[in-house]
Amino acid sequence: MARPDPLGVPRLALLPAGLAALLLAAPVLAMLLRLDLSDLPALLTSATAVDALLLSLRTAASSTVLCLVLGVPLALALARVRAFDNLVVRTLVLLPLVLPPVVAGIALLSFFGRQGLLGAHLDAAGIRVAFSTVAVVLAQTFVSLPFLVVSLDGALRAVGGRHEPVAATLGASPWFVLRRVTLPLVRPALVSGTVLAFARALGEFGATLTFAGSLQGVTRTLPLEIYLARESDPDAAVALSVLLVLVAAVAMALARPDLRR
Amino acid sequence: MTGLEVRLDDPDRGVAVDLRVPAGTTTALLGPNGAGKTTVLSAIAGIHHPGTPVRVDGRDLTGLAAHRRGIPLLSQDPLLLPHLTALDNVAFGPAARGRRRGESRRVARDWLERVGAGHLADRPPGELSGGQARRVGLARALATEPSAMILDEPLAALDVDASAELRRVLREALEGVTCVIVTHDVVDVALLADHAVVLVDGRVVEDRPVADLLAAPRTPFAAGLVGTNLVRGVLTSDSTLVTDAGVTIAGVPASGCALGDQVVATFRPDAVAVHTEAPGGSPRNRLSGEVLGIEPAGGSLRLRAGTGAGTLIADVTAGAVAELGLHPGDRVQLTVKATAVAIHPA
Repeated sequence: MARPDPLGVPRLALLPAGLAALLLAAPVLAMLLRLDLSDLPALLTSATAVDALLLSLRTAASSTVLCLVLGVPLALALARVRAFDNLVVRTLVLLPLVLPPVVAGIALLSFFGRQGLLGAHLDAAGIRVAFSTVAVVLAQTFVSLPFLVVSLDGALRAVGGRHEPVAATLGASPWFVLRRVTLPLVRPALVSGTVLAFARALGEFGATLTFAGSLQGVTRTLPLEIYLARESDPDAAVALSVLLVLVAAVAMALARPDLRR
Repeated sequence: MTGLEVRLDDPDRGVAVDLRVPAGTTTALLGPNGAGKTTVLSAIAGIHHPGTPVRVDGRDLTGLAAHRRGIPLLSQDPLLLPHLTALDNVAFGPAARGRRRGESRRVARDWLERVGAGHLADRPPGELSGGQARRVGLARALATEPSAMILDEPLAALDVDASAELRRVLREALEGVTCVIVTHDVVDVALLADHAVVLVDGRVVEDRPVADLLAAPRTPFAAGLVGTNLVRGVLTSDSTLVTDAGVTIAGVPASGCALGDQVVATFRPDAVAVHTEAPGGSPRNRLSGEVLGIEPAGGSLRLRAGTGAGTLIADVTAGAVAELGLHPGDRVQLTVKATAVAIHPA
């Protein structure tokens, strides 16, 4: 006699479930197995590697801050201001999630590039954005902003807006309400959205390469360094990849306490 | 004048209400669902309709944002902030007004003690019972030293003991505070309010001292609240009124009722006898009707019947209901002695 299916999941569905887990885990595991531990210190402390890592951390941190400064108000507007809550704004906000990064890079060039819509004016004023560290931060912000906004927008809608008016009747100004009521209520989403944005910024490749180029210490972030090293020094590429996995995994573990059950 | 004044006119929702609450007194705002009570409350607090003329103790609040009004709202769900302890919830108001953290907490602890919730200070809202959470909500509102306060069904959905206990706390804590309280419970009206205002379809239909309203309700809603029967009509002789539908009710008119006046007849549900066949005997009011429902009420059963004079209620014993074999839909004869019917000016 067949045993009942665990929790209503058909047992046949467990096979693809296992395959899926394998598909996600096996490549990362294979990469870890290729790691040459004896050469690791040398590979990770080479000038190019250190430059790339520091640049990556610096730019990803900057773009995460930029995401917070711009994304929190945008999420608030989407969730609470009727004028922002429409299909056009929503689609624009979500677009970078589905856009190929290289397309994002071309879009950014069209706006900020030397002949771009805004870039031409900036260029005339002596400000060059494209192919600078600023461009790296802009590219990362462009692709990671939606992660923060979507996560926060959903949380704001889920908690609703009932606490805020009551807090106002107690004498709390709108800013006080934002700091002491609204943001604390969505804190879990704020944290996880921030970490997702940071992780996405850290991994940014296509838009950065297109819009910022690959200049060591200026625009060559860790993913770009890995891509370059892949041809000249495959061992170094693997070592740096593992490093990137570690940084991302630590960020995830910090952000999602629910994963640590 | 001192106290609270509001003149709300919202044609979109069909609400036009003029309300005055003398300083330091409590006015109960009553009425069926959808009558506009919540609209009035949010206009006073400044949550909606900020342009509504509102004055408190002579200070014009018209057009001010909610946080500049100082009129806290306590609702059935006190909406405590889940990320703060009970103490910090109460300290929220003082902190929002710029008091230092230590001082805010001292004030908060004081108020928690005064509503009998001092021992709950360190609990998060998730660990409070419904009654406890409302006490903390009350302390939080009072800690802002409000010039006026509004309470939206503060005792709804509590069990009997908890609501009796909270009612006692409210009675003491609201002493001397200008309040508007929305409630559906006649006990709250009797014990907490000085004045009662009945809203129906966005209009004030009664605005009187609570004692008067309870003694002689003039509207069907107030009568239902008090648990008495009320029939409207015109006084056609020195002891009978005739309704619009032509039903005659005999009773004892109060002084001040003149022939041709609009009057109301009230009689208690225990003065109504229920029969399945027309009874003979002494002159009394007879009304035939259909049983709409039978519900427990205290130690007896309360029967609702639709009659030519509207829906009337009668208190009958469970034995009588069983003996007569009454069920919703059955035809019944209701009789009331004329001496049990009081007639008042409408």
